[in-house]
Amino acid sequence: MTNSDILLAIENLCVEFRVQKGIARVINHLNLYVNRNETLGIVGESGCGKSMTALSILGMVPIPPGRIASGSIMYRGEDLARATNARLRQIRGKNIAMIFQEPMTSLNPVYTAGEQIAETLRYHQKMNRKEAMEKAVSMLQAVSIPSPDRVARQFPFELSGGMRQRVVIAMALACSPDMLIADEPTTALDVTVQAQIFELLKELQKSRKTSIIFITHDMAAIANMAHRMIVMYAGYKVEEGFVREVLDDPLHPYTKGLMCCVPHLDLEKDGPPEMLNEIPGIVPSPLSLGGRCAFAPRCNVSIDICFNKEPPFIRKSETHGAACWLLN
Amino acid sequence: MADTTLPENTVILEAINLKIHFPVRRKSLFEKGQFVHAVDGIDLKILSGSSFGIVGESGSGKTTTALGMIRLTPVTSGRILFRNEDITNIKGDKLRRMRRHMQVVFQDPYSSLNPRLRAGEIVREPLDRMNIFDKKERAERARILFDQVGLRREQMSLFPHQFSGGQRQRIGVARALASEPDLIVLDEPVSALDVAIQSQLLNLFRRLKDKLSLTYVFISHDLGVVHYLCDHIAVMYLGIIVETAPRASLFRSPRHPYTQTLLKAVPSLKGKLTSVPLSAVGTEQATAINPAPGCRFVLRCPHSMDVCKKEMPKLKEVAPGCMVACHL
Repeated sequence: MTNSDILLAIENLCVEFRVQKGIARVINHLNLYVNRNETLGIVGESGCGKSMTALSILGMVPIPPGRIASGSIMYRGEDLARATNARLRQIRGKNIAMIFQEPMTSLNPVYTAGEQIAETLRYHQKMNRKEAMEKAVSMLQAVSIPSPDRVARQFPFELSGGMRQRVVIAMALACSPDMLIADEPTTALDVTVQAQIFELLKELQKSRKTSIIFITHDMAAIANMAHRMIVMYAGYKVEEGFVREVLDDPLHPYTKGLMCCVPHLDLEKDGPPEMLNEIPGIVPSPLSLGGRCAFAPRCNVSIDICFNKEPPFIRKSETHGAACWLLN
Repeated sequence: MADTTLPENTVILEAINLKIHFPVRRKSLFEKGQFVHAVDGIDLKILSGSSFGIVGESGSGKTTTALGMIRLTPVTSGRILFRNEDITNIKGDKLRRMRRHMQVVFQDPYSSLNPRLRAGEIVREPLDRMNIFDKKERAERARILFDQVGLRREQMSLFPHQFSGGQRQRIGVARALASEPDLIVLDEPVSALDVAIQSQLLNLFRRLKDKLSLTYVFISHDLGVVHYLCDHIAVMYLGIIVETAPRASLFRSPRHPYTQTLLKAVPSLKGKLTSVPLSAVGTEQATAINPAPGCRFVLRCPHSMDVCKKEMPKLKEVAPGCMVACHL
C-alpha cells in the first residue's frame, strides 16, 4: 500500500459541540484512511460518531454549535477541515458525493427524478438542459431502473423506497465522483431490496473505481460490502482492519460483543438457539468522555488502567489493530 | 395467573379466513370504491405456550393481521376465536374484559408511552382501568413488574422522556404484563433499537416467556430475530400467508419461492451473500389495491407458470406442521 493509493486521510480529528450542559465530544482523535477503489466500512451504534464523521468530511457539521477542534481531513493534498464554503460546494457532488438513509427526505418532493439528477450535472459540469437530461436518463439506466425515461419524469412519491434510493445513487454518481459516502443507505429498506442495492453498489464500485465509505450499524452488511472496516464507539475508533481480519479475529471487547449479540441464523442446530450474549448498560454521554477507555464501564474484561487512562491504538499486524489496554 | 392456564398444544388464538380491507379515498364521486386488501383471507392457529412469528416485508399485512386478531383494528370479514370463543364481534364490557388476556408491545418506544404519565403510573394504568387486584395491591404489583423487566424501582417516578429507547420499551413490556395476559403481541418491539440493546430485550422476552408461561405473537421483518425467538413462523406477502412451518424446517428447507428469496437476501457475517440477481427479482410488484386474481408473488417469482396468474394457490400441508401456498 503506497501513499499514492490513499484518497482520503483523516488525522487526529476532534469534533465537539458546545451545548448548555458543557462540551459534547462527538469525534475523538479519529484516524482513518480510504484508498482508491476500495470500500471502507464504518460500523457502530447510534451516537458513535459515524454519521458525524461523514458530515465532517463534507463540511456539513453545523458550525456553531459544532466545531472542528483539531485534526485534518486530507483529500488530494487539500485539507477539507480548513476549506472555504465555496470550495466545499465545488467538491460536494462532484468529487465526493453522499447518500443518506431516508430516500424520501433526501429527494426533493416537487422535482422529478430526472430533474434532480440533471441539476447536479448542470451545476458541476455546466451541461445544458438537454444534455443533462439525457445523461440523467442514462444514469437511471446505470442503476438498473427499468423504463428509465418514464421514471425520469416521475416524482419521488410515485416511486418505491428501493427505486428512490436508486435515484439517490444515480444523483450521487452522476458527476463520477472519486468517493461516495453512503450513510445507512439500506436501513429503511426491505431486506430483498437491500440485497439488490448492495449488488448495485458493488457493481458500480468495480466499474467506476469509486471509493465508498459505507456507514452502518449492521456488521453483516459490512461483511458483504466492505474491504476494510473500522469500529467506532463514543466517537473513538476502537478497531480497524481488513473485514475478514476483524470479523474472524476481533480484538476489541466491543467488537466481540457486537458480533455475539446479534442473532445469527444457525441452520445447523435444531433446538432453540442459546441465549444471546448481551452488552450490559448503555453508551456513555458525550459530555463525560475522556481520561479513560469509553467502553470500560460496560466491558467484561476491563482492568484497572482502563478506568484511568485512554488506551492507545495498538497494532497487532500492519493492517489490524484496536484501542485496548489488553493488547499491550 | 390466568383463570385456567391452557395445556400446551391447545389452540389459544385462531383466525379463520380473516380479511381486513381499507378503503382508498376516491378521487371523485363517480369513481368506483377501491380497497387495500391489507389482509386477504388468513387462517392461523396459535398454540398456547408457543412463540409464533409472523414475518414479511413492509406492506405484507403482518402488523394488521396481529392487531386484527386481538381486535385492535376493525375486521372486514372472517372469524377470530380466543380459547375457542368467537370474539370477532364482541363489544363493550365483554371486549374490555377479554383485553385483559391479550396485550400488546408496540414498535416505537417514543410514541407508545403517554409522555405525561410517570413510568410507574403507566405500568399501573391497566390495573386501574380493568379493575384488577385490590387497590392496595396494585402499587406493589407495579413495583414487581418493574423488577421483572430489569428497571429500578426508583425510576418509577420518572417520565418517559427521561429514559432511553430500550428502557422505554421495557416500560412497555411491564405495562403489557400488568394484567397477567395469556398472550402478548409484540409488534417489531426491537426494530427501533440499537443492536446491543436489542440483545438485552430479546433475552428478556425469552426469560419472561418461560417464567410466566406466555404465548407470543411476534411480528418482525428481521429473520435473525425471529429465528432466535420463535418456534413456529408464518411468512406473509401482500396480505396472504405463503408459508408456515416450525423454525428448523422453515430456515433449513424453505418451500415457497418468496421465503427462499427472503432467506437468500439476509446478509451473513460470513460475507457470502447469495447473489439475488437484479434481473431475476423484478422491481415490479403486485398491488394490494383491488388485487388481480392469482398468486400475489407472480411478478417476482422465478418459477411462475400460467396457472399462477389465474388462480390463487391455497395453503396445503406438505410435511408435518409445514404449509405452503404455491402451485409448484
